[in-house]
Amino acid sequence: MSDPTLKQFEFRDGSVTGDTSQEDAKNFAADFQGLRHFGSKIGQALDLGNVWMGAYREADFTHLWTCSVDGQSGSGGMIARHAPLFELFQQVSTDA
Amino acid sequence: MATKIAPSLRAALERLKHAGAVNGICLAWRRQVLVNLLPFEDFRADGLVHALLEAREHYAGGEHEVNTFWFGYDGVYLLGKFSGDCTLAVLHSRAVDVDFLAKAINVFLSDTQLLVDAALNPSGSDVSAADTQRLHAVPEFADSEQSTRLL
Repeated sequence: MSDPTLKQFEFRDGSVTGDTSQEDAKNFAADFQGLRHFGSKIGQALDLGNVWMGAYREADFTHLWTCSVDGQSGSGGMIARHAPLFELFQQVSTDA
Repeated sequence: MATKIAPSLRAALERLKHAGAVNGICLAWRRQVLVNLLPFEDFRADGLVHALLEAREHYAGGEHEVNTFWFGYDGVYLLGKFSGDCTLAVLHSRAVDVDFLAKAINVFLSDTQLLVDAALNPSGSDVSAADTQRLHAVPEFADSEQSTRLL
């Protein structure tokens, strides 16, 4: 996925690092926390265990992350288009 | 609690199982589960739908119009999609299936609007005799004497 709008991030022990602005890292962290909260809620509803990957997609935006079971470390990306989820998943997982 | 629905909607949902390694499907209208084909009890399907809608509302508050959520768990993935008031959630076991599944769900939600309407309004076109009143188009006169008096 050689998309110039792809922004990738890594996080460990509460801090997010990325190759773009601090604002992007802040937005990514907020989305990660929100999505992990709802992923955990769904996991509890169906007794599926811990969520280790989460993504959401809009008409012109896609956000995805993968993380360790405890949620303390992982990597993710966001892209300013309606991107294929599996492609982004592979990209984020490969670069982790 | 899942409602009783027309078999055709259930059959249409069953066909979605051919879109990949699908482990379960759940269709809801607003907060009401219409069909629960998940390998879980109805109260768990309710919890799933409520959490998906809550997540969508959360992002809508930040001006994000989310149409798809995708989560990974130990051995299974959950794909949730929205179309109008309908929510469709699919459990599947292969990540590679996700994009085709998402497309198939979009087509399903578009093609089955009438079936969903029928499930929500089961008495729509089939009017029961118990709900109707006979029309008296012709005045009923007991005998010719009464007819004469009226004149």
